[in-house]
Amino acid sequence: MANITKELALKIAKKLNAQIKKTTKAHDIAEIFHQGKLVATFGIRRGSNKNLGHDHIPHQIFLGARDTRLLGQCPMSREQWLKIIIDKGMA
Amino acid sequence: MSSSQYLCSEEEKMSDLAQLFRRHPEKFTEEGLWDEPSECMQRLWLKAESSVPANWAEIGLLLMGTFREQLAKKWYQLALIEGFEREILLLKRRCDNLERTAPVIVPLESFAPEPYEVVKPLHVVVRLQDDQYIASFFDANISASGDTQYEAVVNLKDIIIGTFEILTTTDEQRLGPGPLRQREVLTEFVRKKS
Repeated sequence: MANITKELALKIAKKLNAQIKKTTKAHDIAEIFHQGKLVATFGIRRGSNKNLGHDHIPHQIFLGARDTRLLGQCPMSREQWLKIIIDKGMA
Repeated sequence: MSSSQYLCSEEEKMSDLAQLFRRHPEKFTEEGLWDEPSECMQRLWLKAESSVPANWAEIGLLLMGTFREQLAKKWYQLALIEGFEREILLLKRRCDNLERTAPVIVPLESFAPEPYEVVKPLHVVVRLQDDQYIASFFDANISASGDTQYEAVVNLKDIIIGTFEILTTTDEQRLGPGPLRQREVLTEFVRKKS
């Protein structure tokens, strides 16, 4: 089973206050803004299966797989994530 | 026919008999001769008892030594072969695993049927991670997942187009460093068909 499921991907999007755009056929694109600027995007696969793999998300939000899971499962906050990507020069 | 003639028929025993005769001539008198050849043989074996078992014991020891040596060699060879078999099996498993998980580079040359075209071929890397294939266009930091390599590449194409649309329709002032870089890379590789 995938590390990051669709269910977790939706939780991450919600936690990061992402705006979901339906621009393509197979994916919704989650856009994450910080201080009015787009800082990251990631695709969420369409489909009813909650276990659809989304292991590509960590790369797109500049985190490792473990931290991405923590982000979706609560221990990591949006502020903590922002601090990480600011340190990396991505915001 | 005397019994000694029966004994003489066996060359090997002759030397023993001659030795016995030299040592104990009194035993080989007329009265000491045997009526039946079988009886003679039995007595000869009885008399020669002292020399034969010693030889057999030596031969036995020699044979046992050789047998032990050969057995040890054989056992060592078997252990060696078993070790090699195990090594081969491990290597085979590693090769299978590497073949299965090794990243594959796929050139993308078209976005058809979408109204986008490839300015220059972009290479994406597809790799297996926890039973999921992940296709990545590292230059633009865009990735997509799929249950198969094909699905992952198709999903990546879809996300590239979606991201390209978003980034090209968003004001540059509203793009952070990451998305800005993504846009620069994507515009180098992708454009909308006119």
